[in-house]
Amino acid sequence: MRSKYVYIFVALLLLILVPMVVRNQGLIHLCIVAMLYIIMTTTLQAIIETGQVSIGHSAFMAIGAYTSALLTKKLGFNFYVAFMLSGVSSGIIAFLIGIPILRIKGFYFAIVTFALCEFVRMVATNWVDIFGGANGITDIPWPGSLSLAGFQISITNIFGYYYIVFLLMVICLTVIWRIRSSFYANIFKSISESNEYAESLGVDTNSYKVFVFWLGSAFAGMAGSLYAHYMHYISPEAFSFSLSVEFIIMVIVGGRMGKHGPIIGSIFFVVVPEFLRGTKGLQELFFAICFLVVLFVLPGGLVSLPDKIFSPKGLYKK
Amino acid sequence: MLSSNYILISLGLTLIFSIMRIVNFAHGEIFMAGGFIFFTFFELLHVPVIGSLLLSIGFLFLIGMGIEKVFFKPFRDDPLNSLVISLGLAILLQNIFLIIFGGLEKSVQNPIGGVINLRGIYIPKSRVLVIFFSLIFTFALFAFLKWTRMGYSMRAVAQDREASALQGIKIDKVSYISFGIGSALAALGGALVGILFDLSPFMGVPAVTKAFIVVILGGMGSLNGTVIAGIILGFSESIIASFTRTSFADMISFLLLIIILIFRPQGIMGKNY
Repeated sequence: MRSKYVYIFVALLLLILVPMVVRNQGLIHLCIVAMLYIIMTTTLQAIIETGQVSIGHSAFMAIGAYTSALLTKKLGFNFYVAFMLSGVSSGIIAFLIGIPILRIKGFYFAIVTFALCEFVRMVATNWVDIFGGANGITDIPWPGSLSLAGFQISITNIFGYYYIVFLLMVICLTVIWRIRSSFYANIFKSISESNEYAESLGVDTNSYKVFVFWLGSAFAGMAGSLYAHYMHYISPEAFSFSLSVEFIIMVIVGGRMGKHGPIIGSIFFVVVPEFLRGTKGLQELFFAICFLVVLFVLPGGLVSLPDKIFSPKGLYKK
Repeated sequence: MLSSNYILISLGLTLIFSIMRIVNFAHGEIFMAGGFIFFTFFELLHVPVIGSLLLSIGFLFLIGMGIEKVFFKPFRDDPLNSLVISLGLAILLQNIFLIIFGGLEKSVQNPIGGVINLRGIYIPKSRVLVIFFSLIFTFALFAFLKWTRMGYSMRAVAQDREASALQGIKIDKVSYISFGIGSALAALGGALVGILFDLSPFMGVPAVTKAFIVVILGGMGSLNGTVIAGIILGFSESIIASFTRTSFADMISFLLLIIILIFRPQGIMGKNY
């Protein structure tokens, strides 16, 4: 137990030190993108674990990004307030959609989230007055400074931004992992194993599903807000259906069981496509091929790779 | 016209769902592929229209069978996995076509010019051709399901897979054929869209969204319901779009989807899955 904490502590320390040691903007950029992806994939994995595949995870990212961008640009809100509100707006929409849809069993959830993804893209593209149409919103400001309990935090460059993203990632991972290691983990496991069985034991499966969907989407919204302020520019195409599928692919390739899967998947898909830069088509092709290969050869994902190599019995482990 | 296209795409989707319980997100990409293969034959190789249509259908029929055999068969009893696989396939197909044909929109030369004058209402001949083809193939599908031996087996499998396997129906064969037919219908839809509008590698996703709305509206796995829902959605969208804006029609159809799912999740004629 203690060694576990030591290992987390060391990892945190290393990650905090990264921007102080590495002064290369490109590398920091990769770190930020990877951390945003980790937030998205970890929450997505939590949703998938309840037996529901959300194909609209990028839609919630888009909702958050647009909320935050519009609030800061058009209404002059402070970044930190807009950031919180972006999580709230995504969460509300997830809640409203989740309640009726998760009540119905079957594939409807996947289809509705998929339609939501298209719907958000269409609204953002066609409602030019507010959402800027296909050109998107430009010149989204940096977070600026915040004075909190006497400390003056000023985020004006990429190195400072690293810490904001890092903070959100740590909060997100802590929340999700706490849930995973708590009593409720068993409930989620039972729901994903057999919905009917869990219900017969008196578990209100719906409320748990809605809760996870809501939580994941709220985090996705906040990640979207961070994305918008980091890129200074958002457009509907940035949050398309293929981004959602990429998140799913990251979860599956990394490993859909276990908490390290999404992290490994995200890092893998941030680092490796860098070598295929400049060929947009090839990158996505690489995603798809990796994914199909993993599904057929290594169903447990990259996490299960060491098991599979080092122990012959690992082949048969789930 | 819009209705006939919706019906073609959604029929394939609902056929695949009812027989194999696969929610096939790659269906839109097959639709797109059908359009591009038609484009290749008609525009680049100068095959006549009917020939290109049939060739595109035939190709996608074979490709559909191949996809079922390679990708979906190992995950036959795992709906979640097959759903995820179809997502991967969608991305794969989209990018293959993006690399081959480039991101620009392609337009096909109008094969039949001229209009039909129906007492002052002018209808372009190409649209008549499109509607004609859609109707023929829709009826052909229903006839096939109703009167052929294969059609019987397909309906049996859709009702109860284990029981029909016990009766000696070859599940694998039925699955290949129905996936092939579903893909062929989508390909026809894509090719017919290619005659009237532009083709783009990104057109699969909106198409499959609409198809899902139609399928849910009609009831998952119900062919009759799909046809009715296709007509309803097609007409209502055209009417709304001609009075307001196209984007508004899309929003209405999404709202319709949510409302249907809240009040009548089994759709117009569907069973409860």
